[in-house]
This record gives sequence, structure tokens and C-alpha cells, in this order.
Amino acid sequence: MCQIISPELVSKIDDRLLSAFNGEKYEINDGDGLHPEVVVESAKFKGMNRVDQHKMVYGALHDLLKSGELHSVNVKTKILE
Amino acid sequence: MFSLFTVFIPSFEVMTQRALKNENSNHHEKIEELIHKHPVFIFMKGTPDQPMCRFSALVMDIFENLRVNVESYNVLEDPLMREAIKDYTDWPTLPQIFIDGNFIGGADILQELNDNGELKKMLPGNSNE
Repeated sequence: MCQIISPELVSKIDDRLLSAFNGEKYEINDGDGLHPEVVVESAKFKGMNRVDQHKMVYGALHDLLKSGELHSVNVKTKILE
Repeated sequence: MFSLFTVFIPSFEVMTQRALKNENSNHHEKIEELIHKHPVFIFMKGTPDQPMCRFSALVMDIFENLRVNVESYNVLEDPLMREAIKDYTDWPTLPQIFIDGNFIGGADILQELNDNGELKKMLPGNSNE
């Protein structure tokens, strides 16, 4: 039922995060092999509540989520002070 | 008379769009009803007794440990509702948690709020002691 976390998918996630959070710190962990975890630390999150911070990360991954290639991802965000 | 007749029939496309819009707004109405009726409401995969995905199970664990009564909707039962809730919150994943009608986020946000003690303060005091 859940998605397959292939190296290709991880590379696509990496690609999109690099574009959206250019130069800032992020991590992709393959969690338990079924649910990847994406950790992003960005100054862009300043002033945003958690929901909006996560929406920004989801926004970067929008096409993957829309196509169904990715439908479950654990997101952790931190504000880079 | 023939031309009068054709003016009053909307195109098939217009009718389909209207039908879809209607369907979506029906679901949005249902969502609003549910989240305002119940203090803690979860749109999840599966049921509280049988969560069908790891994150839905995690959410249930958190609320069980806090002894909070929750109500839920199993999106696996209705693919249209599954899409409607994502559209409503503009949030692409499930589960989705509402407290007092407000969208809180997904399992990861809930976990964070629980870990730092914020979640307890947000609860409407409906623990079943």
C-alpha cells in the first residue's frame, strides 16, 4: 500500500529540496524503508507556524505528491536563526 | 423555436464542472460538520482500533496515552472524501488532526507537540478519567 523508497525517488526528493531551500541544511532519511523522513532547517521558516513550515516543504515536493510517487513523508522543520 | 431550446441547455462540460464542484462542496460541508461537532477529530487511514498505516497508528497511540476521546473518519472508505480533505486543508498527506475545529497538522506535528508538552494544553479537557 505504501510507496517504494527507491534511490531514484530519494534523488528526486533531493533535487526538489535543493531547488526550494537552496544552500540551506536539509536531510533525507529513509526512515523504516517505507516512510522517508525529510528534515529541513531554513531561515525561510521564520515567523511561520508549524503547519505553514510543513506546507512549504510539501510545496517543494508537490509534483511527486501529486503523481502518487510519494504519498507519505515525515517532515521535521527547524527555523535557522 | 429550435434555437431557443439550445440556448437553455448548458454544455456537457459546464454540467460536469458544476457536478464536481457540488460534490466537492458537499464533502467540504461534511468535513466542517465533523470537525466542529467533535473536539478532537482525525481523518485517518483505517479506524482507531485498526489503523491501516504507521502514522495513523502513531496518532492513535498518542491520544490513547493521554486518555483523550477522539472521533475519526476512515478515508479508505471513500476515495472522494480522501481527496476532499486534502483539498480542504491544502495538505497532501494523512492522517490529519483537528482540535476544536482547527487544523493542527499531521502525525509529525502532533508528535512534536506531544513531546514538548504543548499538546496537553491544547486539549479541550475531555479525558475519560
